[in-house]
Formats: sequence, C-alpha cells, structure tokens
Amino acid sequence: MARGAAAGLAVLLAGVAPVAEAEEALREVAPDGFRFLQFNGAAGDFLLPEITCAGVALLDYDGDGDLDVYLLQGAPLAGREPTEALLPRPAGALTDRLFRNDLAAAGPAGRRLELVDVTAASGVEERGYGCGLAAGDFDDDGHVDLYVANVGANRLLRNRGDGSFEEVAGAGGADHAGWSVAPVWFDYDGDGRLDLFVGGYVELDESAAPKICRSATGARDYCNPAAYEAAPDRLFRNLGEGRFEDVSEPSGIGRGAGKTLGAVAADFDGDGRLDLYLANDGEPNRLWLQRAGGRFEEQAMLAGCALNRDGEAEASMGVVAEDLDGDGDLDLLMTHLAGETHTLYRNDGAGGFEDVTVLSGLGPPSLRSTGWGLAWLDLGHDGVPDLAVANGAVRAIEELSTAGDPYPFHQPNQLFRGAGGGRFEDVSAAAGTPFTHSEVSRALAAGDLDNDGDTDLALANIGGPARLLLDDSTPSGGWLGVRAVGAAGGDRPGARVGAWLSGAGVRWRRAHTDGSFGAAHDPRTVFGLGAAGAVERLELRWPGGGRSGWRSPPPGCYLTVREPATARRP
Amino acid sequence: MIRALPIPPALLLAGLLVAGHPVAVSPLGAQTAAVGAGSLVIPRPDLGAMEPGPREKIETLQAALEAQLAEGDLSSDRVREGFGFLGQLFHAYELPAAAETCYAQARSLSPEDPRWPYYLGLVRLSAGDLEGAVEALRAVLALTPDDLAALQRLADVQLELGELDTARRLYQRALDLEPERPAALFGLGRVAALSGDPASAAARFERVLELQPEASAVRYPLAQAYRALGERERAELELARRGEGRVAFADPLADVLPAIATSSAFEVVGSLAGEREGFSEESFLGFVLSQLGSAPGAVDQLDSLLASLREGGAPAWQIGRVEYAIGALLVGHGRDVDAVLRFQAAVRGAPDLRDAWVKLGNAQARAGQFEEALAAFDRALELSATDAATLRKRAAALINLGRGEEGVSDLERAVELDPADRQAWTLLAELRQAAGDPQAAVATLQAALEAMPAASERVSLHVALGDLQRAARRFESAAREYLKALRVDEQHVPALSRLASLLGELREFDRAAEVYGRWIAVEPDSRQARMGEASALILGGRFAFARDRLEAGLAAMPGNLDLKDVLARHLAACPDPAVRDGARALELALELYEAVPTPESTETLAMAYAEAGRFEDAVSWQERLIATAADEAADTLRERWQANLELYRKGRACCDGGTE
Repeated sequence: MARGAAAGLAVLLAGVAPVAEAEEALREVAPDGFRFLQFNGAAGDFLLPEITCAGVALLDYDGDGDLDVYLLQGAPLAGREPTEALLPRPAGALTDRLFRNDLAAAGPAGRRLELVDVTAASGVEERGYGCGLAAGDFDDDGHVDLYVANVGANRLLRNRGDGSFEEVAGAGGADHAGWSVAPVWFDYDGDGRLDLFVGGYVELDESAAPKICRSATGARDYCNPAAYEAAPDRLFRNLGEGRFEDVSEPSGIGRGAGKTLGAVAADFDGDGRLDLYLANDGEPNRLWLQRAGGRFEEQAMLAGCALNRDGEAEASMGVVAEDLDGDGDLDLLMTHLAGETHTLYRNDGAGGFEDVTVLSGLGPPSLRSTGWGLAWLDLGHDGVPDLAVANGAVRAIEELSTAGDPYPFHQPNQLFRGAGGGRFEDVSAAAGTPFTHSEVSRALAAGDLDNDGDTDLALANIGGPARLLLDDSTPSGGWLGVRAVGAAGGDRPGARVGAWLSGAGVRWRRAHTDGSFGAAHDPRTVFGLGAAGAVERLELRWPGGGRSGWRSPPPGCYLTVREPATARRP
Repeated sequence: MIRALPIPPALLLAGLLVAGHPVAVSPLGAQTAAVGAGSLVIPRPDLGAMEPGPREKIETLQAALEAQLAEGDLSSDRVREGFGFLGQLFHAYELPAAAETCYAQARSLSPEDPRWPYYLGLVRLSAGDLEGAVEALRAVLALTPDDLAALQRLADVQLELGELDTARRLYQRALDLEPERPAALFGLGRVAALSGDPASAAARFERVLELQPEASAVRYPLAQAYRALGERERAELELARRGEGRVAFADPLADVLPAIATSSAFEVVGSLAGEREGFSEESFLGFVLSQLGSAPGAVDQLDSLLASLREGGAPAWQIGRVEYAIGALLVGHGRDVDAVLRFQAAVRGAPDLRDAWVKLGNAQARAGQFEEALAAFDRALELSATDAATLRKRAAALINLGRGEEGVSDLERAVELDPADRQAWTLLAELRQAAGDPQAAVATLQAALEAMPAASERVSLHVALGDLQRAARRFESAAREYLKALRVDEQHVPALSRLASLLGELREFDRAAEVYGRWIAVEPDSRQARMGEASALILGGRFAFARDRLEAGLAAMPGNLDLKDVLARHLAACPDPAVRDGARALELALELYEAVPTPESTETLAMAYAEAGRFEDAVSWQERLIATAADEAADTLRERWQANLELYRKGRACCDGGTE
C-alpha cells in the first residue's frame, strides 16, 4: 500500500500503547539429555571463525509433530590440535549434534521437554566447522533435510525418513567449498521444489598463514572482515531427483559479493515472486528483486535498504523480514556491531524502505552490544511483535579484560517489547536470567518447542553451552498456529499467511525459517489474537502464486494447510 | 556520517591544548587503584597484550601522575593536565572505560575547562552511552555556549535519541553561529526526512553538497528523499554519483587523538611550539610539564629537538618556545641559573612570549638579580599591562631594590585587577606599614579580607592583620585576628604560633600553654612549640606538668638538645623541690655536654652535679666555665656564674631560694 512519508510516520507513532512491565517471560530449561558445549578452536591465532560461528536449527526431523534441535559444532583451526584450545573442550567427538524432542511421549499431563542425543543414530556426525544452516524438504518427500554451511565444504544432509541422514551435496550439485554462513531454502521459481541460496561470507585460505591484525593498542586482535575478500553468493536451482544446478550467474545472484551473514527470501515488491534480502557485514546490503525468467535485479540502493539513513554500510548480521509496524507490509530489521544500532527499515508500501531506527526506540539500547541472532516472537499473544537478540562482542571488552576475564567477549542478550506502530522498548533488565546472564551468543532460533502456542528460543553460544528458553508468559489473548506444507507434507517457506481478526483487521505473517544468524526457525507461523479473540478468515498465498482460504479456523491449535497443486507455476 | 575535517597535524595538536576552547566523577569502568588524596584514581586497564611502545607511554604517564598525586597538590596544572592527557591516551588507544575515568577526574579538577566534558562526551558516545554524552556535551555548552563542535555533537546525539525537536533547535543554533554550516544543514535534512518532509530534506542535502561537494555519501539520503517525492530518475542519478565522503566539520579536540596515539610527547611539544596563534603559552607549558616534567633526560631530548628544528630552518618563534619549555623544566629541577639562560634565549627568539619574560624575571629574582628581573617584568607588562601577578612580582623586585614606594602603584593596580591576589594585598600592607602608616596597612588588609572570596585565603590575611595589630601593640585585636584565622582552620600553624606567643607576652601563661599544646598536636616535632609550651608552663608555675611535657617532648624528639638542656636545668633548678631530680638532670646534662661541649652545656652540667649532691664536681665544672667563657660573657651572665659557684662551694644546689 502506497503512502507518503508523513503518513508513514503517522502509522509509526499512532497507537503507541504503554508498555507493560516485563515479566520473566522466558525461562531456561535444561532437559537431562540436552548437553552441548560449542568448541571454537581458539588457540591464540585470532582466526575469524572463532569469533563468528555457532548455529542451531529447530526442525521436526522425525515428523512426530514437535521440534527437534540441531546444533553446529566448531573444530580445530590452522592445523591446531583440540588440546591446544584456550577454552574448555567438550567431552566426546567434535561433531554437530542432533537432539530428538520426545515431547509427545511426555503425555498430555505436561509439556516437559525430553531431549535425547540421537547424533550417532541419525548419522549426522558432521565434523566441519559449522557456521550456518537451513532446514527444508528439498526432495519433497515430506521429511525435512538440512543444509549445513561450514568454514569449508558445506553439507547437504538428506533425511531418509527413518531417523537418519545421508550427505548428498556433492552428488546433487549443491556443494560449496568456501566459507558460507547464510543458506536459505526457498522456491524462487515456484515449481514446488525448494531451491537453495547460499550466502558467502569471506574468502579464508586455511592453508595460508593466519592474517595478523592488531587493535589500536597494537595487541593481536581479530581481523576486521574488511581485511578479507568477500566470498561469492550462490543460487542453486532444484532440478528434482536430488539434483541442483548452479544458476548464480544466469540469475544474477552471483554478480558481486557482499560478505553475507543473514538472508531472507520474501516477496518484497508484491509481485508474487520471492525476492532475496541479504544482510552484509560492513558492505551495502542487497535486495535482489526477482524478475521474470528467474533473473534477479539488485535494487537495495534505490529501495533505501542498502545503507542506513546516513548512507553508511553497517555490519549487518541477523535479519527479520516481518510486518513490524502493523501496516501489512514487510519491514526489515537487522542486528549490528556495537556502536551501530539494530536498524529498522520501514517498508513504505511502494517498494521503498526508510530507516526509522531513531523513531523505533531500538537505537540507543542497541549501541552497546554486538547483535547477531534475531527473532521476533509474540510474548503474551497480544498480537504485537516483540524481539529477541543474541549478543556477543567481537573485540575484547575493556572492562572484562581489566577484570581478568579469560574470554572477555560476553554480553547479555536483549529482549524488546513491541509497543505497536514499530516502536519497541528494551525490557531485558526485567526479563530474567536469560537476558541478564552474559555469554558470547551468536545463533538464535525461534519456535514452539513445547507446542503450547507460544514461541520459545534456542540459543547457540561460542565457547559455551547451548540454551533453551521457554515462553512462560501469561497470554493476554488466544493464538492460532499455521503450518504451510507442500503436497508431500514438507514445509513451504515463503508462503504469506493472512489472518482477519475479529474487529482488528488483517494481520500478515510469513512462513519462514530464515533470517536469524546461524539459525533455522520453526517453519510454523503463530498469530497472537490479543483482544480480537478469534480469526474470521485465514488466507495463504503460496510462493507459486496460488491461494488457500479457511473460514473461522479454531484458535488454540496448529492448522496444517496443504498447498494445492494448482498453486504452482508451470 | 559526519566526521571531522582533516586538519594538519600541528594544528590538530594545537587542539590538544584548548585551541578554540576558551578555557563529578562517572562510574569507573576500569579497574582502578586508589592513589593520593581523596577519591582520585589512576585507571589501570589490562595492558598485557599491548605493544611495548604504547604500553610504555601509558605506564610512564601513570607513574608520573602517581608521583604528582603523591605530592598532594591536586590543584596543579600537572595533575589536571596529567589526568586529561592520560584520558586522551586511553581514548586514542580505544580503552574507553579508562579514558572516561580520567576525563571525569580532569573535569572535576578543572570544572571550568570545557575540554574534559567534551572528551567525556566523545568517549561516552563511543561506548553507546547517549544519555551520558548528552550530560557531558551540555556541560561543555554551559561553559562555552558557542562551541560549534559540541553543539553539533549534541544535536547529533539528540537525533539518535529520537528527540527531533531538540535536535532541530540545536542544528539551527549552530547555523545561527555559522550560517551555511554543512554538518548542521545535513542534520536538519535528516530531521526533515524523519519528520515526513522529503522536500525540505532534499533541499538541505542539496545545499550540503553545494557547500561540501566531497561529502558524496549525502547523495544516498538525498536519493531517498527524491524517491519519496516520486522523482525516481533524480534518485537514480544521485545514487550513481554516490561516494563514501562524509560531511565534515572542524573538531580539533577529536582530531588530535590519532596524533596522540602515534606521536611521542617530544614530537607533540615540537609541533605545539610551532603553533603561534593556536593556543596560549600557559597551555603549552601545562602540556610540557605534565608530559615531560618527570621524564628522565627530558631536557636533553628537548635539546635534540631544538637542534633538529634549527637544522630544519624552523622559525625563531618555534625555537623560542622550545627554549621556553626547557627553561621551565630547568626551574622544576631547581636549576635557576641555567633556566635564566634558556629564558633569555626564548625571549630572543620569541620576544612577545610574555610568560617567558615572566619566568625569566622570576628566575632572576630568585637568583638575586633584581635589576634584571625588573627589566624582564617591565617587558612582560608591556606585552600585557593587566597581568596582576606580574605587577605584583615587579613590585616585589622594586621592594628588594629598596624602591618599595615605586611598587605601591603596581600593587594597587594588581589588587584592582585581581582582588583575590592575597600576596599582592599582603605586600601592599607591608609596604604601607614600612612607610610608617600602620593604619593604612591595617585598612589594606581589612579591604583584602572583604575582597577575598576564599575562606582559605582569608586565613593568612587574618594572621597578617594580627601581626600588624600586634606591632601596633593592639594585642586584643591581634589575638582576635589570630582566633578568626583559627576558626577557619583550627590547625593553621602560623596562627597557632602567633597566638601562643602573644598570650605568653601578655603573661596569660595557661592560655598560652594550651595553644602551644594545640600547636604540638599539629606538629609534634616542632621544637619551637615544645620550648614555648615548657616556658609557658614554668612561667605559669606548673612545674611538674612542665617536667612531664618536656619528658614527652624528649620522647618524641630524643635527639633534640634544646629540650634536653631545658629539662636538665628544670630538674636541677626548679623552684619546686618535688620536681627536682638530680640523677635524671645529671644523666641529661652529661649527654648534652658530650654532644655539644659549650659554655651553656657546661653550666647545665655544673647545675646537675650540684643538684645530685656532687658539689666538688659542680665547683670544678663551674670554675672551668668561668675560666673559659667569662671573658666573652655578658656581665649579668658572669655575675650569675659567680653566684652559683659560691653556692656550690657552700654545698648548696643551684638557685636555692629563687627562680633562675
């Protein structure tokens, strides 16, 4: 919907409600079987992956209706032995880990999480240096698969459907040898098969001597990404039958590279085609708008979402593409380095964006932290998006160094309460231990781990334990969950889901797993109903162009909506 | 987006020392170690991983500052500048928490100096503490309301905070001071864009680009404004011309930081010396003393710098300034004669370097060269006729030349210019007293007391006024002045000593002894206080207490021969027989004589022998005294010696029947 800047401002500022005192909304749970310590391999060489990578995916790999947890592991770097590491090394093999959620087995009396380490049984003993992942049913067999982005060769782990995975990247043509961070499954050509975008980060020659970089004091320090060449982005078209074609060049995606750390696929210009927005580290962000014939055209500069309002490129990490100001279109929010803000780009409804960070309340509270993983959630089901941010520095924090902290990079994570109209308030200090405890956090995945309708969080830290945070807030309204799936039952990211609420207009959400740094979210979409109480109509707009509708869906449950075959583009 | 203009290094360095800035402690982010008085702390961040060069630079300054704090003069330029410069070093080396601690302390030590709140604002900005930055930048503007850099920074912060109206007002204020200021226009453009007025935003951005075409990054927000106006082609055109150049503004205090990180203090001194117009010599010297005052070999290194400047054909002015700096260092090392030569060289190269003339005069006066000092002060006053301190110094030189009457007008002018110049008031009063006009002298000090804002300064004036009253034999008035001084500072030794002495003179021995006791409590090792107390007690007839206090004094000062002598005589000749103690008197007298075999100690020894009942010894020593010293002794003394000898020959102790 087109509207002028003044009208946009009015939308932003209108209806700003007082923000309720935050309760300790998210509580950490530590199921017996859930133990994971990330190993970053740091041995004094100040290698960039050490301070960059961690990852977590929430996916229902066994199809039992609840979310399982996949965690990326690090590895020794630069020929070092694990024993040379400065930080504690986890017991056992340094592999990624898959934890099966046995929530269903816990029975109706409770929703207590029970997680079981099924790494060995599943065959996902991935030993690369994990830095990003994407979950999606690329072979349309109804079983979610995994693409693991590593510092080095990536892996495509095909879910056999029997609780085990097999590596097929090389055989299928989706192999990628550089350092990539931000893979995204999305059906860009609308043929019903999930294609794959892989965002490259920087060119890191592991065989060469490590780059030596120093801080202002002359001390050894991690290199700024500007010290490295950008690694290329890649687009792989899914040809079916487990084969992929690298279409980076013909599609245009391969032109240029921007040190991608976050990526989302969504229809930003409302033409029915999925576009790509790339959050780049210190480089202008990119908005690849899809045109006819599977070509993409980079339009971030003109659209106003390449640089911040001063015309500066920021160190973008995680990204959210969601309707954050309630006007029906997709806004963009990114996390950045300390000294930069979490930057909010408001969609003007006409294909353009405006940096409205200073009006959002996100700016000042975000200046002190380096934000990475990012997720929106709806605490209390009031229908207004809230935000969770995973923080952790990339340069030693002076106060921590002075205090003798052996790993002086930790910062508390943050929780922002949505106040409506695109305004937020930092409520971290009142949000309990998960947001006052200080760690070197990176990846943040959002999803309903206990299937109670609210959004929980999974957090992956560098050199520390992974954590699960459950939403225990008291809902102020009901909820409705929607899972958009293809014909075979696999999730269909990119579907737009609209809910017409009683007396409260329509609210649009996006089925997605993408965006957050190093993480894959729950593909399901949850609507908090707030005061409306009920949904009058539900509509899904499929990436292929079709639509599905549902009248008066029952609240308080997840609806699975299957994409009609006619929805696909020929 | 906005950055400071590139400025030549030397000019940047000038910014270090208040160029363009006519001249409470925050939470401490870094581990600190308490040093010196009060709450001043020298931050000690972890420097373990630092390169040796920067680390040594910081550690040297930390040590110098620690030494200066230990001296206890927290008001000195060296301490103030030292904290400020240490803050700049930490700031330059990206240790913001330590920098903030230093700046906050420099600010509390120099609340009128806008540099430190400005840097505090910058470092808080870099730490993301916007509210703290606002507080600090507002403080700068309270001191220097027209500081454009502070206005600009504050406006930018208010914009970050979403305070659009406040930001707009501040940008407008900056434009009032400097019409067509690109950074302020850019800020107004940003406010307009956020306020939904892309047309106004575009106009502002266009003007910025006309004024500062190199600020090519502005073309991005300009393009967004055109897009919002529906002018897509113009937007695309601007994007095509977009570059990385940011809007710049002059910010010498910020721009000096990189130079601090990369330059040695000596290099900085050399550059500063060449900035003739940029900053005051006092500030230049403040830097020199704070950075080099404790540096070993500083004079030699500055001499090397001087040689290289000469070789490089540096202007005489610059060379003169370095000579001036060297002279000041030599003064600090107590080398006044060498300092005079350096200051003379300084004023040859830089004849309008007023402070060099003043310091030359000071050094010459200390060396007793009052004619030369007078000439130097004359020259300094030609350069600045309204410098009260120099007027006072010239008056002092005149007094030393016996031309005190010529100094009166200088001093009158000095106190007119600076009513808080206590030394000038005091000198003026002394001159009037010496001129035989005690009433005028008293009136001068009374006027000084009325003009003096600081109670601490009034203490000395009360004492001086008391002295004048005492000289005029107005003892009660004198005592009142001393008591007024003690009401302000109950431990003020000059007031205590004068009051005690006055009370003794008035024969108020008990009160005198009490005041002497207070003096001793402040200065337990004061011989004068101990002796005075003993005298007051003895003269007041409190013999036993006098003995006890003398013993206590001797315990505190066991090597003090005067106390030993007085106690020995008191024990040998006290009118109160109960106090006498021949054995103890003899013990003390023998120690005394062994240490100083003088007529006085010989007499004491004889007195002690007599009190101890050893009259033959007493006679023998008294005869020796008379034989060796009588020729040169006064008649009264010779008579007393002879009378005592007669007593000893009769087997009687000293002074029976009367007080010696």
